[in-house]
Amino acid sequence: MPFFLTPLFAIAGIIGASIPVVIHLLNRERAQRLIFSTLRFIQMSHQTNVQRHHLKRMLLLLLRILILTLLGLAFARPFFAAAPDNVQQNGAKRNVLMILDTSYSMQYQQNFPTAKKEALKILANLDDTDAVGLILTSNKPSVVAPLGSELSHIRAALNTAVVTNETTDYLEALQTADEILEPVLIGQKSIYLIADMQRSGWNNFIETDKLSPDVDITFINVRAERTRNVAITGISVPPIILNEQKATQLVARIYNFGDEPVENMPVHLIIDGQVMSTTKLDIESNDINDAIFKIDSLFSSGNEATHTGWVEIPDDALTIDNQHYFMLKSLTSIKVLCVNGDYRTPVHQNETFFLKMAIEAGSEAVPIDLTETRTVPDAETLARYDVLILANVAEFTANDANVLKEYVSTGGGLMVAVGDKVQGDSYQGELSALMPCTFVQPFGDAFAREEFWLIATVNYEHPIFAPFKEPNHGDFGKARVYQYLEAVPVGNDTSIIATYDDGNPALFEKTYGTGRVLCFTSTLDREWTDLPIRAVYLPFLHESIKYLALKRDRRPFDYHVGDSIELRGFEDLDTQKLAIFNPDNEEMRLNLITEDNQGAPVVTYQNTGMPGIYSVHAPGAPPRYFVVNLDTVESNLAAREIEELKSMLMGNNDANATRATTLPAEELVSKYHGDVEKNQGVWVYLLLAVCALAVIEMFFANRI
Amino acid sequence: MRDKPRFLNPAILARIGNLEFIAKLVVEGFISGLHKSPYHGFSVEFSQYRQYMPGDDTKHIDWKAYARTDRYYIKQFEEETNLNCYLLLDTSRSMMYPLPEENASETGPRSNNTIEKITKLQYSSFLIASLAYFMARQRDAVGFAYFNNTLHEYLPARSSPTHLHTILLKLETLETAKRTRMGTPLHQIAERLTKRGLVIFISDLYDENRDELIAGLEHLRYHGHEVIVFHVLAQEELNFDYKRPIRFIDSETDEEISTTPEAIQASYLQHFNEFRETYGVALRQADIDYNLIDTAMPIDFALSSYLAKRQGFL
Repeated sequence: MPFFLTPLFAIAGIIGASIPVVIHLLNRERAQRLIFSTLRFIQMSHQTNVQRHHLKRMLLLLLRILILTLLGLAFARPFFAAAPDNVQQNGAKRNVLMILDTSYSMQYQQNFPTAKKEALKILANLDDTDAVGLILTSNKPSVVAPLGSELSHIRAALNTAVVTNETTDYLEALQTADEILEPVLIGQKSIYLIADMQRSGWNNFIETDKLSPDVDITFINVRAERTRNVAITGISVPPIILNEQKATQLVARIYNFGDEPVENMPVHLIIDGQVMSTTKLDIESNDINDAIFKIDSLFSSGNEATHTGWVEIPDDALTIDNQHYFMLKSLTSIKVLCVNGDYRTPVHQNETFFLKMAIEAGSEAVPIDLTETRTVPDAETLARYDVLILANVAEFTANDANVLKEYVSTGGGLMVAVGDKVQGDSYQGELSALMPCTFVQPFGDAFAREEFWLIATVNYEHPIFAPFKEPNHGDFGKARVYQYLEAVPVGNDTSIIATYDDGNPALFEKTYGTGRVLCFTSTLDREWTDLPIRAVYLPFLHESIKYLALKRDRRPFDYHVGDSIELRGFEDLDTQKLAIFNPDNEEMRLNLITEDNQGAPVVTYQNTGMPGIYSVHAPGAPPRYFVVNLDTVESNLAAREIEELKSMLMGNNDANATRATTLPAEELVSKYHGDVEKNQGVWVYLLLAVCALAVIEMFFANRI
Repeated sequence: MRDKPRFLNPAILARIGNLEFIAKLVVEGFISGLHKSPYHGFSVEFSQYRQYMPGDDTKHIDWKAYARTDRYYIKQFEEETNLNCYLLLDTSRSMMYPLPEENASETGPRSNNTIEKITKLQYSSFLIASLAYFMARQRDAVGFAYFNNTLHEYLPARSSPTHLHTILLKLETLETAKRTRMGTPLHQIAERLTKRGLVIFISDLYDENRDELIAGLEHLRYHGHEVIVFHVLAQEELNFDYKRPIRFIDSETDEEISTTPEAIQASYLQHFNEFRETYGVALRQADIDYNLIDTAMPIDFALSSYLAKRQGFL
């Protein structure tokens, strides 16, 4: 089917083509009546001559019409869109796919009911000969009524459609619709997108995402003219809080997405169901402000416990994003177990002498309970400790290794310090998965004290070294290291956070499961280094233990709406009797119980459509909690313009450009230009035809 | 020819209306240009003197009278003519051409705005009036008949002045008919003409039966008459020069035909010339004088060709 670059010329051509006809009609003399003496000679001549003359005149007229039409067409620059089947446009049948936005931004005011009404209106204009389908979409589309469903079925689906708490991704829905419409051969193809056209819903859009050329899209915007929304977009709180710790803050980030500033807005902090604190905030339009709550005093008298809570702001037109949930653990002290691999008397030669001294000396600031053992304990014992220190431990059994791996993977912190007893093979063998590095060889001589290395470089951005960053806050360069184990890092999740002055690593870090491993390549006593008698030793140990015990990369119990959650740690429990309660305190079904490769049960739970606090109850065990929050990208109600969307999706509608994504960009562009150029070259031929016809016309006109 | 001032444009004559005056105007003007007076009297009985006019034969000057009066007088005699002239006119409807379409069906007087176009019949009337007048002046006996498919009027040849008036009167009240079949009337006339004379037949020759017409004329010739045919045609018929499409209506049969004259002009002219040629050849074979007269021609032309014939005849 031809399209025109400048369709106005085509219209001009059609109008132009009528000019000869009009002139012909105007000029067609009303035959004058004339009484003539005799018709005998006229009759003799009339028959053949006049007919030939008329034929010539008609031919000439046609020729002139053709010339003007072709001239108009040539200037209109026709091109042929590479639509595969022209039949697609034929027929009166309509193929309509309605996409209804069910993301949580549609909870704003009357957006969703309006959208449903609009959808019903569209249905009312269709009849049984049309094929209709319905797609509900949030962050993923769901085809609730395939193309060709009965209208009553679609009406029912529309009536039962509910708005979700999920984010928006229009693109996937549109692609799904496009794919459904693609094999349809007969009839017009239309997509109706009934949505608030939220900007965030188009974030995944890239240039090549176009609809098929034969698909027509209609945007039905149900968004209110002006939107006002304030949302809590995040909470920053340490997942584990040491009761003694000073100045622990909970920061709730609050975003005003509206065009008007918010003043004196009360923000409540609720922990364990009680309003713990309230603060007031002013937020400019389209700006953020942080509500800061001090929570160190909240747990001073408490025992170790898991706390759940939320931050809350007053209700506005979109209420769902006015609460944000969190969970945290409070600890009275950090429990550290140290496995001493080189136990000695007298006491000051013991491997852990300086370690103990340092921890006890600082217990005022950081409450740490240190327990010493000489062998790796069993898993159950180990689970009671937050941090495990392996000081110059020679080797491990396979069982030891498994216990350690399980311990770290479930969130435990492990610190490995080497020494003369260390058997590198055992570390590389049994513990290889856990270790951040491979030991190569001992370097230096612990007894020849003339030669030494300094810890030259530390990563001050790392939480362990951050307190030393400021000038006069401790200098690792004063510590001398006479001997160390040369080591090379292994694995992708390993980082080097301190190095000696010869460039060899001094301290490795590795994350394993939800836990962490630190590996110091020298000793924790004075055998290989004089670090223990330096001022930085004590704060270095404290920070390391705190880091291992309290900092977690991931907040393991904080999920988004729609996430699938894997729950572990039910080894001793009957998983069949597990019960999960949603924020409305309804008991929910567990989706799947499987076993991981160690045979431990893993419970998968998927019904996380509702934000709030979920509790997991198992007989004979204290309840466990996890929180589910909204993805507040959706809270920003700013929308894109319909015109902009049209041009995005329809574009030039060149099918080749969208399909040939595998070609390199430049080739793609040149191919596209080539195609367009080729398709538009018709005008040259049209113009040539016009010239040829003009010559014929001249010849012909002179003959008549 | 038309450019010469001594000739009168037939169209201008048409404005005058009075046939007698027209005839006089034409004839006097024509005569005054001749070197030799056409009025030959053969006989003998003196009637009167008349003052010499330039162009008169000097042999008729009465020298005795000159001696007496010192003036030139011409002796005039009661002349007797020995020539009978018969003027035959075709009054079929085709002779009413060219008529403007607005009064196509009428035969009444022409309105002013169509004055430039003179019909063949008008032209022929002028011609007959002029000839009759001329002949009367020469004391020739003039007869007149007009017909189309039937003989309408027959006036035998006489030379009295009142007879001329009668002819002119008849010319004013011609009857036309929608058919042209002149063979029978011509035979009838031939039977009636007893005395040998000069027959002048004025027609456009659109006869339904050409052979009958020629046979009629041959009949006249057989009786010893000199026959002159004035084939009167309008210019439009001769050149068929129309630019726009026209719905032609046959003046006699009322048949209609719409055509583009430009397209058929060449073919028309070919057929038309063939028609003229046929008559020309057939009439010459019958020793009949054939003259083609264009209505735009001055009437004098016809007069001179008559004169030439008459002289040969006497």
